[in-house]
Amino acid sequence: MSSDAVGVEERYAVFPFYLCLDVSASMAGDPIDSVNRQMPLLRASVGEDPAVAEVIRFAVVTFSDVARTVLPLSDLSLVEAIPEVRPEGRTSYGAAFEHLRHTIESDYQAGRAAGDRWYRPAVVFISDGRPTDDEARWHAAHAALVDPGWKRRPNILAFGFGQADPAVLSAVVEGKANRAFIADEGAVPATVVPELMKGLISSIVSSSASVYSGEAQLSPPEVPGMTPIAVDQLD
Amino acid sequence: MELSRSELRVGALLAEGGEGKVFELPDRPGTLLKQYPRPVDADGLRRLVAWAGPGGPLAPGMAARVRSATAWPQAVVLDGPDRAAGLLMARAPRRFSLRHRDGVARLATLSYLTADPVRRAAAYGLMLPGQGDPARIGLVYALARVLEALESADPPVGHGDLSAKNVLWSTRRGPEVFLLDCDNGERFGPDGAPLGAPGRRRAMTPNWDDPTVPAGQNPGLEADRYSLALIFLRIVGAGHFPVQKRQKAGEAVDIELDLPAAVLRSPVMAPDAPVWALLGRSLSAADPEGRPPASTWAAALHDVLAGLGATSVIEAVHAAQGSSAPSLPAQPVAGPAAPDVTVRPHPIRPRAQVWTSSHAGGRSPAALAAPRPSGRAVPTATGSGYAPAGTPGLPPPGSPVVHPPLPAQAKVALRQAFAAWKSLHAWAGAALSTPGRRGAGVRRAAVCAVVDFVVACVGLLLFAMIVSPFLGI
Ligand SMILES: Nc1ncnc2c1ncn2[C@@H]1O[C@H](COP(=O)(O)OP(=O)(O)OP(=O)(O)O)[C@@H](O)[C@H]1O
Repeated sequence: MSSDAVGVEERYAVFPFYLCLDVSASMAGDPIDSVNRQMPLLRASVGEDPAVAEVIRFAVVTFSDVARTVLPLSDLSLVEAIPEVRPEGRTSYGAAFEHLRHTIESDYQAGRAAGDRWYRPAVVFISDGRPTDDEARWHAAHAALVDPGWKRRPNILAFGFGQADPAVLSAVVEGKANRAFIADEGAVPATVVPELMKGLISSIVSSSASVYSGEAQLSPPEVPGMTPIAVDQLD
Repeated sequence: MELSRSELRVGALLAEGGEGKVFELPDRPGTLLKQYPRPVDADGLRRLVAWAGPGGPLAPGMAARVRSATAWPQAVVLDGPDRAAGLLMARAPRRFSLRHRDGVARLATLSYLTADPVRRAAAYGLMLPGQGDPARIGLVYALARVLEALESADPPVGHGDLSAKNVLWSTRRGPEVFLLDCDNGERFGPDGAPLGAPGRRRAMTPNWDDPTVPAGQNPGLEADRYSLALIFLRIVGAGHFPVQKRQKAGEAVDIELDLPAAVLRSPVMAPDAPVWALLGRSLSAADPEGRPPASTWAAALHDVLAGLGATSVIEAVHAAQGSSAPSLPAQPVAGPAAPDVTVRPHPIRPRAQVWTSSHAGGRSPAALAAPRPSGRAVPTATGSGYAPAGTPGLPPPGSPVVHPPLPAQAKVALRQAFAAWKSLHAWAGAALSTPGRRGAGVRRAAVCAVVDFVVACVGLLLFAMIVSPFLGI
């Protein structure tokens, strides 16, 4: 194919989503169970609609003491089932951010080699606790993830419940408005998590519609039982 | 046709679009209610209903095309004397949906056709015609004939949003299309000015839009002509071909369209065939007024299909549209090349295994070699270590690989064969149980008996072939 011709291998740009899920021990039981129960719905809502699937790529990363990729960045129409996640150890935000930074870069390079064009990736960060690792470590890892000098730096949405600290989540989203959400007082994970996953699905689907506008926007989800953290909670 | 909202018994919510909710109507199967979030001016809608109705400006043959292939507004649903709460329209017949492997049927949007059919087969267990297949050309021919009807009346109507979601397709009875969102249509005067209420907003779907319509402005008749050509490019070529961004930047575009060598050998699709210049002129952003009308496309695609020997496709398209009324007098197809768009057909090259571009594995043909039983993945990284980027073309070890496409296709074929067998018997049974048609019934039953006998013989043979090694025969 001549260099600048438009051919069959040129595709719409894709919008990569990384679900970054806290699987520390405190997530055991209801929270993790409801995540696992909602995954098939997420897979079907995105994967079984070719118009959504063709512009979305989705990955699942979990973190506790360590971070791992549970589902590599995928076209969900080609994924049979999103693997289940299991509770593990403590809550290392540093491990999560380091892993994301490296994974996003290598996914981008692999995708580009295969002809993919990307919109700015989105990270959906879900945690029920405060970071248990050294503050300096996770701050450094976070700074590398959102480094303005790094072209692939993601937009981050953060959701917290349980012991999650609004001030910390606000720092995770760099203090941006409408990016961090905290569960309302007294809300139980068994109801918050399904609502959260539903919100995430419609956020992905409407973000996919915005992809078609050529200016992808991360649509912030509306989650009943969760309230956006006001920007001024940063301090 | 008008009725009041209070006369209607409204059933389940079927879908929700950007501009309205669509409901089933339990008392009127086959008809749907589209309800706007807030009432609109009834007059524009009345004129659109009347346009396709009896006594309207459409010739009968053209009206048949609109009736059979669109969800045209059939009646205005009133909220007050001049306020429309919504409209009634025909529901897309069942054949305009596709049943995925999960058993759920979904509307057959164009998105199924704008990707490598192998990838779609792997994802959904659907068998789709290959790129360049006459069935795909037949779908565009069907669409061209519908748009020809819209352009044929005085005043003509532009649909204005011919996107993946608004053009449904079926090949079950031959190539057919079914247009949704027709209330978005607009009537145009001889000078090309819209006749509807000023200030009405008609947005095109991004990625399916005409690059010459400035942001915030409404599409004219030429926009449908662009969309028709874009749809030809994307569904005959089975790809995305994202050209608009370059066109909006004022760049010329050079398109390479991969087609099977056998198709390219036909003079109607050869690199110097007139259809490529037609495609280029229709996609032109430099000269939108020079885009040929839909009737030119209808005539050209008729010739292409005839040249490919696909006369049965032509006949099926005509039959589905309820009339074999000839198209308008054919416009000469040849014309000057577009200044800014060239289309060059090219013999098909093997396609990149796009499903591995995300190095995610999944439902890839690699699974054929090593089928894996379930979708449980083994974590690929530990520590804050990293998932190894998979080799392009191969899923990484431990990725959730299931459902090789081939067995799925076999399953689809078996299911289709069974459905055919069932309908054959129903066909015989229907005649047998109809008084006065027993003669025909007996003949049909005889056909069934022959078919059953052949099936039984083949089955016995296969059974014997499988069993004999065990018996040592
Ligand atoms: N005639 C029909 N038969 C079956 N389904 C239909 C029909 N019309 C609409 N739908 C369903 O309803 C959805 C919305 O319909 P429609 O496109 O008319 O509404 P809209 O509000 O104009 O949508 P949008 O602005 O998002 O295109 C469609 O995508 C489709 O799923």
